[in-house]
Amino acid sequence: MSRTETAVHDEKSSLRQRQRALHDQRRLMLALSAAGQLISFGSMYLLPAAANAAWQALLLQLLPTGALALLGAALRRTAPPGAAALPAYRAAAGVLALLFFSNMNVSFLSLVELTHVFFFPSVSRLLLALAAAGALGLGIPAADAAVPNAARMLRWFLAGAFLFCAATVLPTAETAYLFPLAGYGAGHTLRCAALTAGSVWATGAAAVLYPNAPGCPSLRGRLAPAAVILLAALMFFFCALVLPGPALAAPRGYAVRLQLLMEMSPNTLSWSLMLLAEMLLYLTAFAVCAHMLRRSLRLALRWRRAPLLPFALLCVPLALAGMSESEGLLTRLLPWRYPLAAAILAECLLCNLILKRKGKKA
Amino acid sequence: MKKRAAALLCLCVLALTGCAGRIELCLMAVCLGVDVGPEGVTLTVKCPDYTGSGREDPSGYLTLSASGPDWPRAVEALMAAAPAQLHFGQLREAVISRDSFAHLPAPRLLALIDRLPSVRSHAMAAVCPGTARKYIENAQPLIGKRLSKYLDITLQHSAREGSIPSTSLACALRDAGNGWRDPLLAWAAPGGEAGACALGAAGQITLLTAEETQLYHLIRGESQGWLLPWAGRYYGVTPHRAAHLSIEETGGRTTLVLRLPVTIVYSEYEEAPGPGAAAALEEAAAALLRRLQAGSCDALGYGCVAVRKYRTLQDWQGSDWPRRYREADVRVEAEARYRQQRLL
Repeated sequence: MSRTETAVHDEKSSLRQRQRALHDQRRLMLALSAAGQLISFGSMYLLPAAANAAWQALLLQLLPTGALALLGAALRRTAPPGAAALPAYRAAAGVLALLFFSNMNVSFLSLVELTHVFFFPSVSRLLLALAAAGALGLGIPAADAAVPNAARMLRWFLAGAFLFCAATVLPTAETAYLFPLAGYGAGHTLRCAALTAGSVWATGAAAVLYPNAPGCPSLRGRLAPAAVILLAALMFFFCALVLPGPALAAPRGYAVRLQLLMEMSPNTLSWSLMLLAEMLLYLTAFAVCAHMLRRSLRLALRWRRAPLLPFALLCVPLALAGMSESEGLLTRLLPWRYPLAAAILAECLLCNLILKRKGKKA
Repeated sequence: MKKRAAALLCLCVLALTGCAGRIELCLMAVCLGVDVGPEGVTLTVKCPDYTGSGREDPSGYLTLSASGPDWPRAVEALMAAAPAQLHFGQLREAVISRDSFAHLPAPRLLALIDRLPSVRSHAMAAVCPGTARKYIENAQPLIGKRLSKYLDITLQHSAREGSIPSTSLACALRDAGNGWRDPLLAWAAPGGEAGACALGAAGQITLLTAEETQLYHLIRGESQGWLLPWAGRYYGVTPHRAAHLSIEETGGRTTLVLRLPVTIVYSEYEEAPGPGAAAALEEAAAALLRRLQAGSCDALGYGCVAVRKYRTLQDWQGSDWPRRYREADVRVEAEARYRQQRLL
């Protein structure tokens, strides 16, 4: 009798451990996606305007990230059994799929731009974009655990690379470049914050896409998204210490801005590490967004499997449009993602509460 | 799994094909010369002659030059004139003729050079008298056979001595035109005369001698030492720590204050120099500062100190800092320590 109890107990605890580990992985995955997007946005949009406003805008992201994480936690607690089958959840997943597709576009754009400038400058952009779309569309595995596991492995490399870069960048830093503290003014910082806030909504989206996931009791898992975004904010803080904002205000290409920023450090290894870390981060962000897109499509349309290749190919036109046109388009569209995602989560929460009340009355 | 490993090994074979890379077939420019005049832009590059004919130059280097009415057409002409695709990834020195800055502002010119395909932004930026074309044509390795190695060694040696500033293209691009600090480029005279070229905010050019450049590095705390001439003798001066820059505003007058903590070294056969040595150092530093002021070049970075008083970039841009810097008074306070150098 006692043997049977022990076995059941062991089975339950091992199941709980596995669920906890999986949940930790999902959070980490979302955090890396958010950090990848933040760095991408930071490089593209914030630095040309004012480097010293960039890290402040990124620090401001902690607030919406925390708000979305809380909203997601509340949504998960109040989720009725079989929530995924409810029309509200399916509609929400449909809109989330669109938002994840926009994230895929940004990561793809950054990847193609960097690859074109630093690795294959003589290859035509169309050929490169098509090859990248094909490779990513076919090469990213469909298994649920593949992307989180890759993200889990990457975190130490990324943390180490950031630390090494910080150590090599700091001797060339100039604290005066942080001044004037408000950059082009508080309004500009808030506009930058609104733009990048559009990329942190993914931290709350897991509640809709994984409605029955158990709560994560570990503090580390809970703090992972905030920690990675803080890491990205610190990276931009170092960037702000190395370059004065107006030095990047000139209309230069994305890669030139990035190159100028990275070459401020005389250490070649830190430059290579920075480039490698950025490429891996964009790659992970793309893979994570693709995974979330497929998951939300499965939830919305009840597809058995959603192939990634068509979506990867759909990213090609934006990468071909050129950086200035793409930047202009994305700058106009992307700030609306954060309020949209927050509205979706709030609607689902409201739906849960109504269902709960109905259930109580019944 | 075995199949994947085998496929990976097969792919590795592609890496064993020798020098078939596209970059390795390019002409690697070692030096770049830029001349901008009223008639247009002339670009000159020096690159190793891989053809092995040795017709152009017995040292094995090709000198290519092309002109155009504007920058893009000059670049196009240069690319067309080259026997193979030009690559600037191994660039060691980018030399700009002094007169070029009269026709094109320094920030614009530096940005254009930095936009050349795959340019190495760590390349040293230098200014030369006369035409850069002639300078590049005459550039030859005096020791050894490789120009790139020769330039690496000589430029590093001069930069370590402090007789030329080691400003790279990227650093010059960062400093030019942002108002925080102005760039100080190396002076590349054909006779090997060292020094620096201070680029002013409005395009003014001030030439500093090798001694002045060494003093500049001493103030920045980057120098190994400087020789102070005083009372018919020379004393070694080493930076104790980096100089402290501050700005005082009194009654509408701006004063640039420089506190210079240094150690003055004298030999055991001499008497300790009196306070007059510190005063001579103060005078030399003040003279250097005034020369930079006259050329509107804030090479020391007083703008970095001034900018801290402003909350937004608009406030900073409206503060008219270049004029205030030019008209400011100068005060240098040397905090000298004296140390007797012992042989043992």
